Amino acid sequence: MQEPVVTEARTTDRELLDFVMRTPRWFFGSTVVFGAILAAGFAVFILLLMFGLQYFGYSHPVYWSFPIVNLVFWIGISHAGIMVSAILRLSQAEWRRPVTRAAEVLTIFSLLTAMLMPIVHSGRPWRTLYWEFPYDWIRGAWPNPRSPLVWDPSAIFTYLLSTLMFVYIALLPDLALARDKASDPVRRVLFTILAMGFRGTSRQWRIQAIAGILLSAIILPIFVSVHSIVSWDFAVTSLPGWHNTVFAPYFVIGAVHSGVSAVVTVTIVLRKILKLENYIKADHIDSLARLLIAVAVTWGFFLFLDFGFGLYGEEPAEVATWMKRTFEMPWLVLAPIFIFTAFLFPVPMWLFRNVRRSFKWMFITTVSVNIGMWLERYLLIVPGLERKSDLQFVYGEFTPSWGEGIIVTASFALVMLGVLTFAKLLPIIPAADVKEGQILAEKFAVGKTDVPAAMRE
Amino acid sequence: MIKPEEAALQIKQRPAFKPASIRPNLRHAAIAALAILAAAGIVAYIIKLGSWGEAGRAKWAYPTVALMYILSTAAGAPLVAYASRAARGYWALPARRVAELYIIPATISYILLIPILATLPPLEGRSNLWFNFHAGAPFLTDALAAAIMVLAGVGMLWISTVPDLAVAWRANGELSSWQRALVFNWTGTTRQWIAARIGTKVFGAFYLMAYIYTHLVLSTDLGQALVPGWRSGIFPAYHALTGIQGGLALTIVTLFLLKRYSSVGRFIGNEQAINLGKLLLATTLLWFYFFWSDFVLVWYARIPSEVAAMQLTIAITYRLPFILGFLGLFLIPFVCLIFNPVRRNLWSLAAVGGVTLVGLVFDRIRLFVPAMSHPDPFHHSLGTNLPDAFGPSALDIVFLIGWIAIMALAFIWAASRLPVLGGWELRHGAMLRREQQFMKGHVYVLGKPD
Amino acid sequence: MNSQHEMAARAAQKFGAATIPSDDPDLDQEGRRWGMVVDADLCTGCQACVVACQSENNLALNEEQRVLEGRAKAWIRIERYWEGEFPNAKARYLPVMCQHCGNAPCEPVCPVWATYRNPEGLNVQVYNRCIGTRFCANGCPYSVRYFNWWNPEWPDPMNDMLNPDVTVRTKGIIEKCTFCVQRIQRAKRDAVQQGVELADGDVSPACVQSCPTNALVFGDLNDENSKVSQLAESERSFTLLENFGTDPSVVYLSKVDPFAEPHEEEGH
Repeated sequence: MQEPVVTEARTTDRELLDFVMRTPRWFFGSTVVFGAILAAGFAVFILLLMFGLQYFGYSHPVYWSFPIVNLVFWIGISHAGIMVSAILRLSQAEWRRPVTRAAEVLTIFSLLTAMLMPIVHSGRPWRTLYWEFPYDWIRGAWPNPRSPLVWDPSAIFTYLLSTLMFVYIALLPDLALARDKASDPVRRVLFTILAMGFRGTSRQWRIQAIAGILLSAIILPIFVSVHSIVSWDFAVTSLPGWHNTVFAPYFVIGAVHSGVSAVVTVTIVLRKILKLENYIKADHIDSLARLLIAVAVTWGFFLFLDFGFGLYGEEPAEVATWMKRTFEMPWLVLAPIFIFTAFLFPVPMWLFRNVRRSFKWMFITTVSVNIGMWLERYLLIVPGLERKSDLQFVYGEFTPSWGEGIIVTASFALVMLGVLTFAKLLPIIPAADVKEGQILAEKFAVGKTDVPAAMRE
Repeated sequence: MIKPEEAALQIKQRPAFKPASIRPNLRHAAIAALAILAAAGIVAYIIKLGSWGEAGRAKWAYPTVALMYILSTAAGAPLVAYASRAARGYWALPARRVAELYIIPATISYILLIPILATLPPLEGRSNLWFNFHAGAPFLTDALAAAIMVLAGVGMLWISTVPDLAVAWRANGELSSWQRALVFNWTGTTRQWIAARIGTKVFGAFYLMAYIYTHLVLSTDLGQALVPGWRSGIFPAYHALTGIQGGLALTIVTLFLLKRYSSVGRFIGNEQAINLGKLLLATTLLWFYFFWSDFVLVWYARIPSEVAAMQLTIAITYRLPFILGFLGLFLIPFVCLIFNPVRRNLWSLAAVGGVTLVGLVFDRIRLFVPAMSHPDPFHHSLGTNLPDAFGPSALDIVFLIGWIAIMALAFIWAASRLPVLGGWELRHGAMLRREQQFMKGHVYVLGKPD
Repeated sequence: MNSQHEMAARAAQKFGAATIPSDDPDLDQEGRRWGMVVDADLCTGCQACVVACQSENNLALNEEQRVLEGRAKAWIRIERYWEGEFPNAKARYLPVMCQHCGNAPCEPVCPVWATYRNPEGLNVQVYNRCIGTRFCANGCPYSVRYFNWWNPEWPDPMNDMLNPDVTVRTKGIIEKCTFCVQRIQRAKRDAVQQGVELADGDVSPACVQSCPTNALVFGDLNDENSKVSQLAESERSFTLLENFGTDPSVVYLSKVDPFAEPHEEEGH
């Protein structure tokens, strides 16, 4: 199945470090554009700090909206890195090799972006420090451990730290490589410090490999807990449309769905702009697409459970919320778009081998998934808040405002800028991993055909 | 590590597939004991049918436990075969057929399903999965779901057995006409091989979907929907997961027994233990995750109707079966399986699998007995007065044990008629796996066609 | 108790200011549970309580634009229902304020403990502590928690006419009905100063005081002889959204309508 990457190790080194060592002109242009969007987002944040949250579209019962949708969305994206890296590393899937780094970097930057969202969202952001850190314990001011909003940052910080360690350990050999190849003193000093004296002795390699596998195993429970806890931000309340026991696995599998799709998108874009055609092949995208089919179908099952058991009790408020979420404007338009873009369009497409092996179509389908998944979070969060409870004077409407639009756009710019900057500083394709794959790749004849094979210990 | 020649030899030697290779006196004693228990189970079933209508649904509470137990273990096991085929897990080659054969006991449990479905109360006035589409629900829909599952499973077993059956029967001379029809006139053409390989996967995929769907409707209709106020979206997923857990445990225990007592034992080794152990550990952790997702929301939101349902099935009325189920499905397996030596050894792993299988009985009891024995499901909340626990009568216990014996006996029967190891898959796997020198050590080279 | 706290408490006692919560055992009695009874039969939907609450508690004006944005604040609001079909349609009123639940869904979800249940059964909001995550407002099934989208402003001369006993809430925090905790504190201090026990009826929140039909009654639910606890025993009594199990301190008495069909049930 897998065409092994066939280049000389020396060529591999040079091509993968090309973007790190030399700067093409478009890099400045894109940085300026993303920077400008980010600055606009920052300006909105300053406005919020000075004059309160009036620039967002919130109203009385709809107290959470785009920033929280964004939080869930970006944390969802961040699940890609570990799904691709840790699980595929543990299950020894060969095709993971070129895409792991991009996935992990996406994880880091989407997590950082997600962490900014509750701060933008809260009423008094300058006081949020004691939300998580009990620095004022002498006066008895502790965070409330019963609140999911305290579990949340704890899980996210843990996830961020372990992901950083994970990425760093995987980076070590490449840092050493970059140190050896660096021509200018600034980079050489920087990489020398970062590489921590990695010389490629067999002992160092062994420690690096064991640390990678251990962290993969340790990170998995964290990976599951993060999005479960995010889902409990909603599900622990008794709101119609929110209180459903299926939320935790539903959110996790949805996160993997959108995250792996995002990895495919980012990989295809990076392949194009960084000219990595030799390393990211149709095979890799194909395998990711097969994984996506399984994930998407599981997600569809949990979507059904969410919907079926939302209606199951036939509680009037719950049923009214679901009716609203499906048949009333604007949900009447958004709900079909969501289900079409997140499921009905991409999943049947992936069943075709030609689509799975086409970069153009995989780009379109995976972007479509993430449009749908963003809408999914919007559909989950806002209609529940617009309550259809027995007390009808609190029915609300939500209309997004320009402020939220800018914040959402800026969050995308931030993630893209982050990934691009990382790719500029360090190789985005794990050179050491790819070379290891080249060595382990084998071929042998069975009957009349050659079968690609891989070595295992 | 199985050499291709050895696998070929294995297929030719038909007696190897028969439990005859088990020490005869042991085998006879085991079959006799199982047969007595099974007969008792059938008698209990007939007695229950004979007194149809008395005590209504409650009398079928423990038979429901037996049914759902078989559907969670025997019907879960074939998924191990399908999953390892879909994920190209070569380690599972000797375990695939063993797991698949359990579709036969799952099929037999259909006899239980019919009277149990017939006891269900009308849907109007209670929470149910069918909302306003009552045509045939729940009786027809559930029976149909289980039928589709069983058919898909039998199809998967049949197609994957065809090449082996053809070889085994041919070794005893020419095939009779019905034998030839059963194996689709198998001669081993390229087209037939492609059909066999695709067929097993397609039927397997159907089986997986039908399994999930059957568990969804049965666990809801026989469990959740009969307890007022019990509304948990994760419950069908939880139930399907415990089924897979039970299937894994059953496969492990069976592999252990085959290794210990039969002549095919030499094909079964620690490689299977390592990987099945990992999977069992994973499902154990998932069990806790699903259970906790359910529990924490009810505990946190404190909605009285949900809390009452949880008190019934977990906290108060059925506390003892819950604790035993918790120990058997999570705590004991988890504590044992986190140690590598336990997972790498088929003996210790089988012990853990046995604990899981026992725990599963109690878990099914705490889920289905309160539901089936609840007299009045036509409410939206249990209110403050929890119903009393419904203990088993002697007949119920005989029924439960008898039907588990029937499951075991059905497996033994199936294993004596069909090859218990997938010979062609073993050979296929052996072809794609080689040992080779790399630098200073030996490595496996795994071929990955497609 | 540290000396600073003591000083503040003493000063509060001296000047009659009631904004500082106190740990003084004379003032905070365990075992009290402030509660309210709302008689829907007596409520005419006149909105006097809403106006009284607005001026007592320094709530900003609900201008038209605010209402259209859905950002109007009313700690107590009159829910109006229509009963019956057109020719026989009848308006029904139900004043809804914070229910001061014994089992409040808003309390455990706050990450910084800005809301908690105090020893006298009040669900209190600590403005200084609040960081505005608004989780409590989502958790509240009655939707009686309101957020400050901006710093409140009043036209001249109203900004010189604020109630000095009540904090003006800044932007970015949640606020809600307090059962006029400033009046409770003042009444308790007056009683301590005069050396008498706090009697039933000594405390009345602004809404209770202003209700022309006496549809609202306030008092200690744990005191068997108080008017509220006796009314709460009525067979007409119910609490709002009972299916959430929140154990509210506000008890409603259902409408008595001699002409109504027997199906009437306001308990939702």
